[in-house]
Amino acid sequence: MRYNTLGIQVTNTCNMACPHCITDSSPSARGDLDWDEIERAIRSAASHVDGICVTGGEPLLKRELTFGIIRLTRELGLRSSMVTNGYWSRTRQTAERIMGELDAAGLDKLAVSYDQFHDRLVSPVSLEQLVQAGAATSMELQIQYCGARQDTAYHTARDVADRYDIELTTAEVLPFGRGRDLVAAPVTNDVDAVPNEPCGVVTRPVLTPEGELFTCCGPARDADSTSPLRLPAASGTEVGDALGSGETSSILNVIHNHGPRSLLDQLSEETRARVTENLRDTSMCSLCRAITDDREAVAELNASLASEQYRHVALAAVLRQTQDTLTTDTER
Amino acid sequence: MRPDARPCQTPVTTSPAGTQWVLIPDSDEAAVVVVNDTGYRVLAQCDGTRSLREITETIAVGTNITENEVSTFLDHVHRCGLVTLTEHSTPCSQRSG
Repeated sequence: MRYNTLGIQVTNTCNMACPHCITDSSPSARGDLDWDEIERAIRSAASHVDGICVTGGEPLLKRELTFGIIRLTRELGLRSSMVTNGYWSRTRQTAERIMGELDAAGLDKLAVSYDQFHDRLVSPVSLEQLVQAGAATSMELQIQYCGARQDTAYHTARDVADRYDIELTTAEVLPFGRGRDLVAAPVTNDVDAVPNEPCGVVTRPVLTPEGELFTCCGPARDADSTSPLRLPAASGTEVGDALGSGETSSILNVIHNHGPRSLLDQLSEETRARVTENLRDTSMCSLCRAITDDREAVAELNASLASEQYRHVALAAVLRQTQDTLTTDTER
Repeated sequence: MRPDARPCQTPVTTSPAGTQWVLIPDSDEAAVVVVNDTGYRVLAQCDGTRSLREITETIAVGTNITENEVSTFLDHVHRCGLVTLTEHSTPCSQRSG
């Protein structure tokens, strides 16, 4: 399994406090990574990832760190990206100035979060100003929408994305972080309703302001201390080795190749029943956490998957090569 | 494998995975193989000009690896279609077929 992008969560602080925030970020949330740790982590990870993504919190509240990361990523020949709430796009002039600075620093891709929660601070006009300013640069733009697709914010995001021909990604609110209070508890723990698909985020590790390294940018942050979603890096210099250990993990490769549903088949009846009881909803992330937080489930999986470890590693590499080939063919 | 055999690695795409290397052959007739760092270094020597004995001498520096172990490994990857063999020194790039 080859990692795609290492997320550097520069800060927990955000000027918004969205009720669905998976990182529990808010104006009162504290915790920042310092530059020395960031630099060590990025240099250590460089041979294991294709790119670095600056996240938060809101990264532009830590302007020097954010621009430093973008420049270092460019210097190392990696692809740089950033996720922002776009609060800074209140006027056309400000949007153009900051977009120009990000472009000059070497940012390759900017993703803006916009949905019914973010539009309390970022108006449709601000979103359009941001996208319009970005369209004049060489940067790839993306709108990231989270939530139901019936509300006004979705239609605004869809409209802007269509008119400027940029990507709109959509995701459901997950029952993790503050989102736990938004998602209704399942009436039944119906594991058959969980999508039986490969996971697309297990190859996007993230380094948090607390110095913890997780193998996915999804809801792994409060995972059990022995969870395979946690990668063992005591300091920035160990990030590369920690990523390397994850690349050959059977459990992570199966999640990447087939998805968490396929792990269920490897479990004993008793463990499978317990895991199913712990589902928070019928999302893949919920099932993944229910399995990987269960120490007996992890032990059973490590035992049953051991003999197939290299088959899973090989399959992940073949899938990656096929994906790369398809991407190259599409770009031609 | 004879000590004077000169293995030649067939074209592959190499993908690192932790301390392992995944070798994905360009040809549909060869198998995908996962090798460790030593295996990777052995295959990197298989350029069609070096004999099994010469490859072993190079790889053995600083290790306990024997000619027999290298031979067993190359026999395996040969069966997987990842190396071809000849008794004459010809760079892989100049070989036909």
